[in-house]
Amino acid sequence: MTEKKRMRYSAVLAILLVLDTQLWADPDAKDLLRKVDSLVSFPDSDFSAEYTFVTNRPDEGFDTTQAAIFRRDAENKYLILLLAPKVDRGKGYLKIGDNLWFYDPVPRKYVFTSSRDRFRNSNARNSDFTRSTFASDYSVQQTSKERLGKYDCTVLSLKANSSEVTFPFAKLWISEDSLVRKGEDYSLSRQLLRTLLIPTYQGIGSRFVPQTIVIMDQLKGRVIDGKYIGDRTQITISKPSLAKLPDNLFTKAYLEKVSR
Amino acid sequence: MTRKHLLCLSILLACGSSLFSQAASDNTDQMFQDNPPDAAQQPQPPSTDQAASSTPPTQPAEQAPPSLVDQFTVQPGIQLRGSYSGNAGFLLGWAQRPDLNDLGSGFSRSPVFGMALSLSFEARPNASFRVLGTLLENYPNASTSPVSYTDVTPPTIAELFCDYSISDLLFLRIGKQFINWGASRFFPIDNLPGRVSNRTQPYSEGFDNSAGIAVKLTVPLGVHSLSGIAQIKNNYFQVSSIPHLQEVGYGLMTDWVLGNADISLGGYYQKYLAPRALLIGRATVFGIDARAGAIVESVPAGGVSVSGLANAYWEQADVGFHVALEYIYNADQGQGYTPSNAEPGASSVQTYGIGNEPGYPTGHAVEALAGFKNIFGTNIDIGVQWEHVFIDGSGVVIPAVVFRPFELMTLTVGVPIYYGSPTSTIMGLNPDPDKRQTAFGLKLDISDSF
Repeated sequence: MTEKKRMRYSAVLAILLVLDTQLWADPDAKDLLRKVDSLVSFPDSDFSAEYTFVTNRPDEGFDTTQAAIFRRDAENKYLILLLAPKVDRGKGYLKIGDNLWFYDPVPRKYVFTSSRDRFRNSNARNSDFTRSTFASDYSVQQTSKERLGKYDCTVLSLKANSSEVTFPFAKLWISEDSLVRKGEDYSLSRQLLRTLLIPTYQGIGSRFVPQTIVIMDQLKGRVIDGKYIGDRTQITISKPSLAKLPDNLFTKAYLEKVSR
Repeated sequence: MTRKHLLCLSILLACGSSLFSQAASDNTDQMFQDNPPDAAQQPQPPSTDQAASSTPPTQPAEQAPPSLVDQFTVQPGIQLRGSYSGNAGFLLGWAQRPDLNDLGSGFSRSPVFGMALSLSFEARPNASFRVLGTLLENYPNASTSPVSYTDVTPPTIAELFCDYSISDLLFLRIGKQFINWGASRFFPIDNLPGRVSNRTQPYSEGFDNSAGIAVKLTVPLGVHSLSGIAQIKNNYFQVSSIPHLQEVGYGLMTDWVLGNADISLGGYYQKYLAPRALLIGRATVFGIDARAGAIVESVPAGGVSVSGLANAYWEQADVGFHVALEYIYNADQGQGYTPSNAEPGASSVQTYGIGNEPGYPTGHAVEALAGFKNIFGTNIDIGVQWEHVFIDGSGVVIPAVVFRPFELMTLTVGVPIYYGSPTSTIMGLNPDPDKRQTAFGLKLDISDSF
């Protein structure tokens, strides 16, 4: 093989490797993502639940935040009312479509903000409370199989379809019942930002809601005894309900009314 | 490019998608066993004792209550809550730039003490009605300039209003209430209901951010909304303590969501203020919260003046960094609206506010704030704030460090540096009774809510 040919083969190989994840992706992976989305979304009903966030910051202790969350997936809306700590009680978030407002009852003012922000300085993001949209937000780059504890999981490596998605890259561990058991979120430079673990789900109607989510932060934390320990947030979801919510619940006026 | 480079590139690309996945090396498998350890290895609040460890991987939900909404709309009895903060510290520095050859010149030091108590009650006897009130006690009395340490004023009613809604289609709020319009972060130039005619300088304008007595009616229109207010404030009455119908302030505001932008259009009228309107746009672009707006006022001599503001906020929460920047242009030279019976040549006053309450200067001004939270994983925040008024070249820079050694306790160290002539806008707003230009302050705060 001449030097010129070798160069050509190398270049072709390089291009193929760039595209590898697209070409070798499992064609059924997209269907799996759609099923994942459908099992944890509520397009035919409203959803409400109480969420408790316990954030453990190494050497700093625990922060507990409680919130009531009301979702209308069919219209891509949610309302979050903070219940605890007392200093934050009455604050709230209203999301309609891609727009998010934060209401602060002290100055009685709304702030138009980004849903990519962290939720109350925890390891959760405001975008975590929307319906699951993996299938539309991401393209599958690669699939593989991996055992996660007692689960045989399909592992999907995902790439965001647009810059509006909170995390440019992600990986999902999906068990055979099509529920996400583990997730990893990455930055554009493929720096691991956080790991999510969902060991248990609770059934509600024909859908599922995580009972516990553990989020391990890979960026926020501190070094203790020479070992990096990241912040952790455990989210516990209780009182899930599919009861119909008032139409005007998803309005600024309603948030102002129920706020303190 | 050599073959070696291409080979390396190929290997890197081949490994690319799997390399990053190995960054998370936590052994998480055990959480997915039949008898996993506690999910987060941390205590749980009693009300949410549903740890993953004791439950099967998928189980039926607990019996749902009738509606979670009820607990926010109807509450038995009266809810009481409050907050307290107390602080102590000192401030030392120089009345002018320190002279290294004579450090004693203009040097002074003084103690700093303060406290604030807030007590609120709330009653929600039924889903369509509630009453909310807040009493506030502040020491020292910050409404005077300079700040008074000798007067202990009685508590004030910060807010007292009722909410009434008709089928959640129409929301009415009546009583003493804060009304905040606009999108400003530092200079509330677009908060039109906060503007008042300055009683000490009739027919000139100031800013009062205390709550007024008002009626506010809001009608949600899907994702949009329309609200109208009628409001009175002390400074609205020029002639007597009995308001004339014309002396009431009237406002109308609409909020519209257009695509990914939030648009507000409003107008405000009060007899002694120039009729004015504002247009504000808010959007999040590339993760930056951006806002811009214009305020159009009628000018007594004829025509209109246009003021504007623009601000941006960006936060990189992963590293605790945030930065905010705001620019305003205030075309109002302080003359306000001059009614027909105005005294000829009524003088202008600075529009920066009444007492030490926030306001906004005349002409061009800029303010910026940048800081890191929990720097290097510690309980320490650092930040710097800068404000500059172009009309007289005055400003202030305040680098500060905030340390939280224990729960509820905050230690703040700041170095305020003022610049400009002694009579300039910012120098006049220096809350330090000794008007030190260069100072070092240390303050310990203890605060909690209950």
